[in-house]
This record gives sequence, C-alpha cells and structure tokens, in this order.
Amino acid sequence: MQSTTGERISVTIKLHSVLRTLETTEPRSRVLLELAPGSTVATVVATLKIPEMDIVYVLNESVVESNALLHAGDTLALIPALEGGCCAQRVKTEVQPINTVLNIRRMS
Amino acid sequence: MLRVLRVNVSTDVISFDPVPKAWERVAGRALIARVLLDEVPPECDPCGPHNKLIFAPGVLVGQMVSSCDRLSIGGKSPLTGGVKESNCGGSTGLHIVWLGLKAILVEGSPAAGAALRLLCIGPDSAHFEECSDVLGLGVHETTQRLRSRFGTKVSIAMIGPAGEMRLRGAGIMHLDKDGNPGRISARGAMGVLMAAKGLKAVIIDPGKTRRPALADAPRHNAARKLYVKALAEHPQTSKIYPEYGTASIVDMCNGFGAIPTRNFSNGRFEHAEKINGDAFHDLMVGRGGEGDPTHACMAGCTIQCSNIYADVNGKQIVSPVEYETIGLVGSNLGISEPDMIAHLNYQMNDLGLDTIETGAALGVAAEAGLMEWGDGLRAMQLMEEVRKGTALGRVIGNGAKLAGEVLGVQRVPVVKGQAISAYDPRAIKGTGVTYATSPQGADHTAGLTLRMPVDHLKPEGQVAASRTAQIRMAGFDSLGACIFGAFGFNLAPTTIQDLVNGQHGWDVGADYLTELGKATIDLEREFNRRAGFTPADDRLPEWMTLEALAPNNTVFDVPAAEMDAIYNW
Ligand code: SF4
Repeated sequence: MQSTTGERISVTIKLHSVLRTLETTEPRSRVLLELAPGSTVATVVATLKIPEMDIVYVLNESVVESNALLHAGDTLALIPALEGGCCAQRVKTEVQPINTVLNIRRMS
Repeated sequence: MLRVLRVNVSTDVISFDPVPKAWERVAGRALIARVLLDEVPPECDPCGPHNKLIFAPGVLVGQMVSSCDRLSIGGKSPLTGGVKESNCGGSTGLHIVWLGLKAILVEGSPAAGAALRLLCIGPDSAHFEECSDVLGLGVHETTQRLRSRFGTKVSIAMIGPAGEMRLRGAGIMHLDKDGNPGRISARGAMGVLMAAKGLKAVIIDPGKTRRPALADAPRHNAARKLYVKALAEHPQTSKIYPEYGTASIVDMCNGFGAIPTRNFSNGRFEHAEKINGDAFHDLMVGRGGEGDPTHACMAGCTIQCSNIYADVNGKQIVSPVEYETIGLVGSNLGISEPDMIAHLNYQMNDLGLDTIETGAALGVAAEAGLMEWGDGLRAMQLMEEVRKGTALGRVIGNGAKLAGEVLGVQRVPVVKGQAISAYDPRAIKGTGVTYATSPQGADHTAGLTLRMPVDHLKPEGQVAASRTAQIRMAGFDSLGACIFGAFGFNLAPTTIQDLVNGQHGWDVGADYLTELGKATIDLEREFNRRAGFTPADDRLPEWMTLEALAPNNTVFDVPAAEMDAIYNW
C-alpha cells in the first residue's frame, strides 16, 4: 500500500546486465532505495541516473510503465531491453531519423 | 559479373550460368522464393528430385560491412512442406560471393543407395569428392577432418548424423570466423534436404579471391562509415549485445511472462535468474580461459553478440549459447544449470540439430513422461538415442510435431509443423501472429514484436505490429543483414540504399527495404498457396487459444479474420 504518513518507503531495485555497473552505485545487482511517498519508476530512474536507454520495468510480477507508483516493500527490476531490431529502437538520439517509410513510431 | 552455379546430382553436370534477368535484383531470402516459384513444382516431394537446395547470399554480402554477410539457405521444407529460408552467420555466404556466385542451386537426386559426397567449390570450378572418412561422424570431428584435408581457409556447410539420418530437426552447420562449427541454418530441416541431394558437406574455397569491386566506392564507403558509427553509438549494439548477448532476453521474457517453461505450460520460470544473461556473462568472465562473452560470428561484425562458453577449467564447451537455446533447452525443460544447457547445446550442434526444434521435442517427450523436468542427464541420454538412431531417438530428432503424434501429447507447440521459438505467443501476441501467419512456419526471426509499442497481452494492434516486423525481417533476410544491424540502420536509414546502390550500381530508393520485404512475402505466400496451404494453416495450435498461460492467464485471442488480412498491403 502507498504510504500516506509521509514516511519514506523502501524499495528493492534489481539491476540487470549493463545497469549492474552504474556510476551512481558500486557494481551490484541489487540496491535498496529509500524514496518519498508517491515515487514512481521514473523517480528511481532519475535517482540512480540511469542512462537513457530502452528499459523494461518489472514491478513485483508485472511489466509496468515508468509512471507506475511504488509502494513500501516493492521489488522493481530494471532490465535493459533487447530484441532483434524488428521494430524501431526506442532510444533518443541525435542521429535521426527513424525509418518513416515503415511508419514506425519513435518511443522514449 | 555474378553467376549462378548449378549442380545436378542426378547427372553430375555442373555449370556456371548467367543470372536470369528476373533474379538480378533479388538475393537472399527473396531470391529463394523467386527460384522456388520459377523452378520448383510446389507440390513436389521435398526430398525428391524436383526440389532444389538453394544457397543465396543476401544483397549486401561480400563486402564485410558489419553484420551484413549472412547467407540464406532454402528450398521446399521437408519439415513444413512449404517455402523455407534458413538464415545463418559465419563465413559461408561471404566466400560464396567472393567466388562470384549469386546462388548455388543443387538439383536432382543421387542414385539410390549412393553414399553421401562432398561438393567442393573453388574459383571457377566445382567437383564432387568422396568422404567415407567423415560419414556418420559428428559435426566437430567432421570439421577437424575436413579442415585438415582442405585447409583452414575454407568455409564448410555440413550436416551431422541427424541430417544423414534425415531427421527433420536437422539443420546445416557452418563455421564461424574462427573455424568453429557453431553457426547453423537451423530451421525447416534444411539438413534433410542436403542429405536428399546426397551431400555431407559443401566446401567453399575462396582461394585468392577477395571482395568484388564496388560500383560506387565513395558512396558505399561513406554509408558504411555512417552505419558503423550508428552501431557504435547505439547502447544496444555498442554495449548490451557485445557484453551480454541474446541471453539477456531471458529476464525480459520472464518479466513479460512469455518464457517457455516446462513445455509451454507456464510463462515464468522460477529459476530464470540462474540462466539469465547476467548468470552466463559472469560465468564466462569469471571462469576465464577460453570463455568470452564477446565474440563475432563473422569477420567484420562490430556488434559481436556471440559468445564462447567455457567450463570451470576455462575450456570451451560450446560457442555460442543463445537465448533461443536457453529458452527451449533450459526453462522449457525445467533445466536451470548453465553448464548443462551448454553441454546439451554442444551435443545438438554435434548432431547437427536445430536447438529450438529439438528443445521443443524434448519438452513434448518430458510431458509424455520420458524425462523428469529439470533432468539434464536424461536429456543427454535422449540425445545419445538420437545419435544411435534408435526408434526413440528418431522420434525426438524428427521434431516436436512428430514427437507429439507418436507420444500422444496434445500440448505441442508448432505451426505448419515447425516448433515455436522462445516467446510464448499467449503473452507476446504480435509474435504469435507472426508464428501463425508467416509462410515460414513458427519462427521468431520472421517478425519479433517484443519491443513494438503494443500491450502484448491484448489482441488489439498485434496484426499491425506483426506486419511491420515481418516486412522488415523479410527485407533484412534478403539484404543478408543481421537483424541486430537494424539498430544501426534505424539510426541511419539512408545507409541501406547507399550501401545497395554503392555496391551494385543500382538506383533503389528509400523504400527499398519495405518493398523488398513485401515482395518476398508475396512470393513465399504464392508458393505455399500452390503447395496447398490455406488460411487454416495460418493458425496457432488450438490449445493455445483455450489453455490460459500463467502468470498472466491469457490465451491467444487475436481474431482469425484479422490475421487473414495481414498481407493485404
Ligand atoms: S550481431 Fe551476432 S549474429 Fe549478428 S553478425 Fe554479429 S555476431 Fe553474428
């Protein structure tokens, strides 16, 4: 449940593959974060200064988007996305532009 | 000027022919479909004299542009009965183009009872040789002997014991750039087709040949630079694929509830963290020795998604271990030890078997009670049965469909007779649409939708997602470009036309990839239609529409009518 008392909530963050060597933490695959109530997945991304890349967020057992609200005791896995490149890449970049011929949407 | 090498194994007539006009601007997967429609009666016996074994490097092959030297091998599939293109890395495609060949077509049937032979191709020459010393041998021993006979500079496309026995899980194995036979044209029983043409191996000796001259070198070089720069700037191709490889997909698919687990009975594997990209990476780095998480399957690939997996003593077990194998041979069998997955992978490579088809068949066998979930040693024994050619071994080596029929199992994960790969279509529904509708049969490489902007659990939007992915994949397969190169092409899309035009002196436009993809699929569907396929073949197994998949408890529910309209461009 979301904390309503204003006390900070503690969330376990699981970091996968290249995120295990973040500049903001020692090399590790798990981090315990104390966050303000109302924090979301995006808060974690900002707090840990996760580099811009396509990431799959798995909150407890479900895939969520970056606006998902976090609760005390949650486990959030940050998984750098991989796939065969069938669809447009989701990372923002200067190199321009995505293949518009195929009408592929650019995602952030 | 490129030529077509025709090899008739009925008459032993070999000829280097001009490229027919209609084939000039197609290559790779597109050319295979074109040849099939032009020259192969669709209703023919896949193992009979009228089918053809086709080697067709993609449009961009020959120039060692990063990840763009891939080879398509195809024909009418002995597994699906339809069109088949099986795509591989390694050095075979590169050397075929260096020899000035657009395609190799193996035609006819050898005399009944004739021993398998070698087809040896060099600059302006080709001939047969006997090979009694390698018949019945595994792929690794065969490689050693053929390399000591023909030298270490040759490429080799060969079948293992499974192909020799004409088991429909058999593919065609190729050497990587280091001479290790770890690359495979895996899908669709191309190994059976090669055996039916009386060949144990094709030896490609490039001799002193090198890259063909470019039509417009400055244009090609500029595009190559831009493309390689884009690959180097993209986080996936500069960091994640090189360091972690496709094994990293384990966590994603497990998160999506789509990893095949215990014969596709669950989408989440409780031991996923023991077999994920991090686990494999740390073992490869930690054990040192020959192990290496970063390895290129072909010369010039800057992405290097491949790997070398070593044992506790640092001695190579197998190269590479890929996500599909981890999914089908690991979680799908309840196996959670990386070493066991690697050893099974090695055995399957040595037999010349597709790990997807064989892992799926083992899953069916486990469901039938022939092995306990997680019992890797028993899986090894079953591989020994395949090697010995026992009745049980042949059932498994023939793939999931036949195993299900013989063993009385209903939960058989196949479409058009070909095993579903490591994305359960009930939790990644767009990929389910690809499995169902692709003329190739169930195959994630025909159009994976994992990162498409759709809710994977809902039926809406899946047909559109699959259509986009299928067109792109058919295009890349025809270019000879590794799909991971797509990250570079996405960032610098003009490079595709510049590379093509710079290499060949053509004038293709910005929509070339799309047009190539659509045209390829159109040709393939037409061949399948003439071979007797109907919309009823474009369906997932019915049980996947009835049996909900944990943990999301979803069935496959994309409407059939929508799927039937997928190719109405
Ligand atoms: S990215 Fe991987 S599969 Fe593709 S060409 Fe390079 S090593 Fe081979």
